Amino acid sequence: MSASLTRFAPELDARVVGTLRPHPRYAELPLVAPRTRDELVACVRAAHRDGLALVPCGLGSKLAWTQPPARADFVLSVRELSGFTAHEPDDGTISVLAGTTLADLRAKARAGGHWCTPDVPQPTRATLGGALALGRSGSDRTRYAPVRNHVLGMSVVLADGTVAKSGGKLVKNVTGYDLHRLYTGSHGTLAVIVEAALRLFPAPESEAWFEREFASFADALAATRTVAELPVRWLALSLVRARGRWRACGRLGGKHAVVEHELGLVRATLGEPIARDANAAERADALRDAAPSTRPSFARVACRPSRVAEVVHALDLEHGAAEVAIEPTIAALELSLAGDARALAARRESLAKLGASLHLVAPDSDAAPFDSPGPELALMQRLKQRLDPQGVFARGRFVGGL
Amino acid sequence: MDAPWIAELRALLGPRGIVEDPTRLFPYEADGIVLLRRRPELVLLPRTTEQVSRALKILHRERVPVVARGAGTGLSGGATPVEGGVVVSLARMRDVLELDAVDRTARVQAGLVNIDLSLACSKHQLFYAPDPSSQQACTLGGNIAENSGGPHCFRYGNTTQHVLGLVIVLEDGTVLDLSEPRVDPLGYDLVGLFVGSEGMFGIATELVLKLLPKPATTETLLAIFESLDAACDATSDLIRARHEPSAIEILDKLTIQAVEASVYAAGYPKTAEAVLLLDIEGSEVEVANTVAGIEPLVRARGAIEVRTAKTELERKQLWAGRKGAFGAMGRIAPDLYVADVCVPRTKLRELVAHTTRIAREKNLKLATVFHAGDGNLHPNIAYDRRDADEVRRVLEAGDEIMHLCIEAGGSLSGEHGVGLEKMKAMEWLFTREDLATMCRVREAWDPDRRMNPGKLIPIRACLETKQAVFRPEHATGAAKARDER
Repeated sequence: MSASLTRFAPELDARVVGTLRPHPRYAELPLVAPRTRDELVACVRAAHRDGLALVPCGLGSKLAWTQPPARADFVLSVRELSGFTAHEPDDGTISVLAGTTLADLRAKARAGGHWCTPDVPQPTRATLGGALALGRSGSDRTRYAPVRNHVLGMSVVLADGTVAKSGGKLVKNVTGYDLHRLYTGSHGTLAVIVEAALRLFPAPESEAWFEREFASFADALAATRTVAELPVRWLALSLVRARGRWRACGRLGGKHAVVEHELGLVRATLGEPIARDANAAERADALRDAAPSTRPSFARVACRPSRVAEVVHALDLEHGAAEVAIEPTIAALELSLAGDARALAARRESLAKLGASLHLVAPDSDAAPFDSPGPELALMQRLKQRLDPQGVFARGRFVGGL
Repeated sequence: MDAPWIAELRALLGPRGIVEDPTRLFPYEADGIVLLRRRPELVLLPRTTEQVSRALKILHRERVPVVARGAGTGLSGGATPVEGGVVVSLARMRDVLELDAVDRTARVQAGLVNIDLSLACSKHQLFYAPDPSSQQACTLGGNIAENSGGPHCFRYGNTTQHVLGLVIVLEDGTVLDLSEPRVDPLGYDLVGLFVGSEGMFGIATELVLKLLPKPATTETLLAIFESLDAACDATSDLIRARHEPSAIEILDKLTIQAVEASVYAAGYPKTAEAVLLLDIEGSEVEVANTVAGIEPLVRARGAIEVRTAKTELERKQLWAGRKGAFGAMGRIAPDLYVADVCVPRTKLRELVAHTTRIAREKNLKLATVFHAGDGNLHPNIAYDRRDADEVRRVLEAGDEIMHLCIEAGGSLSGEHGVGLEKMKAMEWLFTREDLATMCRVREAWDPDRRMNPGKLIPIRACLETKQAVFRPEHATGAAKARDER
């Protein structure tokens, strides 16, 4: 282990399990992985006491999605804190420790007859804590809306080691501020997520997978818009370009009779389903796992649904080599990058004119990952100041240097 | 003589924009909880975000407490100016600023009445989903403050799931424009955090809300039961069987009788012990399939009859009865204490039975009507506020119900908020650390805790921070004169 660890407090040294870069452009740091909630609290307290800065993570697979920290002393992983603290299938709720992988969470929910959102790529490499810290929704957002809507409550460790909870384990609850909304998507800059309670949804009895190739982006967009308007509850709906061809892909799921009916409605536009049930899930998972966001460098652009075509045109995505995945009803686009991060960053202004935002993940480039926030940054800074005045959760990684 | 800042507010808002006459201040003393009252010094009725901003700048300079108010239909004392100061009513800010039928969003002023948004977008075959029982009167800004629910939130979720953007005026008058709808927030989710903050973070003046396409088909079922327990069990069974109607509501016998004796008479059977009211929405096949799954389940739990609304009029009547239930209870007693608690959906029968027992032990009239599908109980206690002993028993019953719900893994509120009414109970549910964290977040928005002071977080949870800062010497001339009388 590196000599730098000797300056650490015993609480931290005892749980160093290796090294990890908190960002690809930052030096390797000790990786601290507490095994229990108490150990986690002790680690954060030690950092607070000793003036150290830490970067929280799950499995660390998405640390490149932010900016490098201004200063960090160690990486704190919740990977050892996994498992389920409560599961009430008959109430449709589950409470999960942050280090649980989304694959395990999905399997647990399935065993209870439920679907658990978010359905993100490569769920064996993603923890719930990490996904929530990123505020990451999945391909099932078409049906279930963003994941932040379904976090019922959270327990977190604050910068001084205080354990605080918000919300609860109930599908409906407005008791106290929704602090879990604040922590969700805060990229670990305010607190370490220890546990979250989620709402579950009925698992589909039956599934179907559609896929159809189109000659042009315009045709594919028109087709997905047509099927999006049908009285069909899409589980996922996307437009994908790979190997230079545009495809419209859709996933149906629900009760047998309903899916059969929906198949009939969709056939006229997208043709026969390519796969059913387990095979449909397999196809859907394969497409999800090949998303541009699984590449080392990618961009995510979001806009209003009516602006999708304009944004695609502005970025010249109708043609070219980039892999593209678009959720047309969400109006979110992902595209793979090949060394052109700065060029894309330079188009921020023109994207902003279309009301579009850009998140750039390009670890080899110094292009800013996030758009510049407006005057609301001052309020965000006050929130950071109130919750973490000392900067225990390393500064500089998130929007506006938070 | 009036303080100069009041003259400034008069000049800013004009004679229709300010209420100073004590007799006209009376309606602003309380919201739907009439037991908790305090008259404000002034009421402001701005028309624009700019006016709200300029008014708050003046009030910030003078360090006067501010309480935002929509229609005053809240049921937790959220709009009660418990520490005096100025009420900012959004009642004159009720314009629909933009309807975008393509992207299915609406930009509205915060004082727009909830139902008016659905009426405005109906021609585009769109609707706004959150539907509190008071939706004919309550404002969308108030819904945002309380993160309001409603029967159809079983399917669509509370208000927070329908808010895409906000324009917020902060305590110092700064206008924070977060109104561009974003797929995901840039930075911290300030909009999501603001919703449900009970007027303590600032005043939302403009709202960007999500609209939904009207369902292709809607079916309304009324299942009639000979016992309230059986209706609760039927609901738990529906959840267990993963059925997805849009709304699952229960009305008990006393509620049914009150409704049927009122202008909201819906045709509920007066002899039934309870009815289960369900809306099922979706494609024709989805609706038929769900209905086919639900019927045998409710019959297995002893439903003696399952009626289907045959016409749109009948459907509307059944729902008008449900939504008018609180008003109808005025026939039972002059006042109504509407409790609002949540429990896991596996424990409905147990908790409803406890509320019945508590009311019986305290010799109170209990009428229960609630969002059963969400586990959101509304034990409603009819009382007369002139009877001090009865008031005491009502409040004791409310506390006991909250304790029992917490013990069962439940919470203090599903849609009405904590406000003034449940503030002390926050210490039963949350630790001091949890509450102190809320306080720290609140102070990032409002360092002096001047926005809706005295609500939600018990003051001792914020001991490390400064005390609220209203200085009595700033009371208006009108208020001083009244106090002297």
